[in-house]
Amino acid sequence: MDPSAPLVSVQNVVRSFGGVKALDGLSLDVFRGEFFALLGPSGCGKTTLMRAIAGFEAPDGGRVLLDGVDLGDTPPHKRPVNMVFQSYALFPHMSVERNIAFGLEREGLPRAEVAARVDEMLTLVQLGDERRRRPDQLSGGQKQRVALARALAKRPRLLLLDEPLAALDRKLREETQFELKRVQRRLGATFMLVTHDQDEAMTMADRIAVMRAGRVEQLGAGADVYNRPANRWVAGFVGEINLFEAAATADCAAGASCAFQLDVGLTTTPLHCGEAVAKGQRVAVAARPEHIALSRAAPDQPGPVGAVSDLAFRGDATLARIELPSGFVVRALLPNASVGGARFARGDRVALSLAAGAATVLTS
Amino acid sequence: MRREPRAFRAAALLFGFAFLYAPIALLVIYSFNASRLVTVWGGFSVRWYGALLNDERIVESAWISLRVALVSAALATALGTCAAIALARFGRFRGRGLFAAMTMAPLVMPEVVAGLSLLLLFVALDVPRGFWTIVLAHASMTMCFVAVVVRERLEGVDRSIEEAAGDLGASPGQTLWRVTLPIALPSIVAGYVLAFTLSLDDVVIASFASGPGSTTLPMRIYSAVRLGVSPEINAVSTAMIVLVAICLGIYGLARAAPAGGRV
Ligand SMILES: Nc1ncnc2c1ncn2[C@@H]1O[C@H](COP(=O)(O)OP(=O)(O)OP(=O)(O)O)[C@@H](O)[C@H]1O
Ligand SMILES: [Mg+2]
Repeated sequence: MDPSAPLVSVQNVVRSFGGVKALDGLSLDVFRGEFFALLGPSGCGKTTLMRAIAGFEAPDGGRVLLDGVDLGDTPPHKRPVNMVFQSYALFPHMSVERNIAFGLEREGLPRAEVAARVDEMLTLVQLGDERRRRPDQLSGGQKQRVALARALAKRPRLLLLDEPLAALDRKLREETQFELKRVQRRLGATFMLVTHDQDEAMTMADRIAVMRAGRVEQLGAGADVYNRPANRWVAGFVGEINLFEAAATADCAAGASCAFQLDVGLTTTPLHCGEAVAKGQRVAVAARPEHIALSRAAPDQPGPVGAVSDLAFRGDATLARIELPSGFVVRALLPNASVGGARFARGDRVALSLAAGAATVLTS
Repeated sequence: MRREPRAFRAAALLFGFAFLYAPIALLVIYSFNASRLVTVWGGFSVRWYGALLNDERIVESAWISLRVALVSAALATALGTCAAIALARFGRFRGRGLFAAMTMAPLVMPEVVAGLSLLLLFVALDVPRGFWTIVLAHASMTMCFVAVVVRERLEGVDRSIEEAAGDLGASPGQTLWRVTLPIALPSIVAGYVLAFTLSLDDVVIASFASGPGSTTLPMRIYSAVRLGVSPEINAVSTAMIVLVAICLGIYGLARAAPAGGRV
């Protein structure tokens, strides 16, 4: 079999609940050994997609292929896919080791083999000392690790994780993120993670699908999604961003660069255009707060000038909100490392400028 | 001024409990009465308990009652659990509402009506009445209680636990046997004990369904009392109260048990 062929291929899957289309003709491919994240706001259909892949939801249309084979009506217990549920769904009447052994026993593996794999998993998730406890005697983080071990013990071709870290506190979440990455790399397994936390998606995933209302808005590496959002919605959803209304200053072919005149009164350096734009065409120019520079405004400063309306200390940087006379608010991230650099206080009048080439042109 | 309502409330509570339990307390006390006269206290004695064991008819009836309760509760538990699973897990199948209503109807059905209709059925089918007809009658009366208790438990269980079992490779049958039923076990035990208790102290339905040679203990007590209360009857009633109290204790513990708890 072609190793570059996708492991999972979701093709035009539709699933409606009453009038609501939880999945609206969604397609995506996940490749072998990949750490894939589904990122999207609450209710956009992430769980429904996972459940469709695991076999708990029958799609109204479209198909799900695993290794090129249509899963069709294959019931969940016959799919080589395992899921870590958001609620963990541990068996409350079984000890940690019985929980982990459950799936292996269903495969009819010999006892010695089951015991060996359970031990291996307990070592992997570092729960050897808790093996005889029941789920109600475990902490949230430990339960999460049991759920992970239980699913991984089956050596699934694809592991689905539905917001497995949502219930953990910040510190434990970071540790567990790290742990998941480590496990995934060590086993060379394919992981598909659901999250509505963009930092989590960025930290962990090789590729991210940004979902909205049952569709994929953008699919790509974390850096691509962050630096080159496909449209206004993705730009607004992933990370903090300033969206400037703008017009093209010249005709520009797809892939070429041209300058844009921002409505706030600033002309950009030439920006890369993914699609062809005509002179005067209205677009949005998206710039991250870290790509906005501030300087003290001279009395007769040309270009956009505003007043600092708020400063939020963030440790390594300070986020400034600058209110322009039009009422438009621009956010700028100022690194704190440059001791003795320009310091601003609330009420200061500042001039804005854009780092060369750092902004993204959005036609939709 | 502020103390009056409190005193009043205490008195009301006392009166209420006295109303409920004084007759039972009296019965228990008089079962230890040395005197043969029911209303005259003649000192403490356990002689009536001794006399019970020598009364063949009472011992025989007690044995019948016990067997009826054990068997009918088992039958009711099996059927009631099936009904509960159908109601809590099979989604919205056709006729679900009707099925739910018909399963629960015996909860409020007048016992006399239930008993009489069973009697008519047994007569129409020409079934000789005896031990097994009482068992059937009691099972049909008590299975709805089991269904209610088990269903309540099942509906409180996170559905994704059963989905996880399927996800890990368990067929629907294995999921039922290894996950659903063990999790519901405390409620199944509670249902059994409840059915056992209800069967043990039923007079009305048993009277309709019994035949010669299958007189249950409550029926025996009831007919004995019509000839006058004897200290022996007090003693046998006290024994029943103790048994029922133990059963209700088990029932309460089992219902409160966590899913993973041993019963
Ligand atoms: N069983 C169901 N019955 C009816 N509607 C459903 C059902 N499951 C999901 N939906 C609807 O489908 C949509 C997508 O739900 P889904 O659970 O997939 O969202 P999600 O992206 O996982 O959200 P969250 O981040 O909050 O978990 C929602 O509008 C939801 O109300
Ligand atoms: Mg969800």
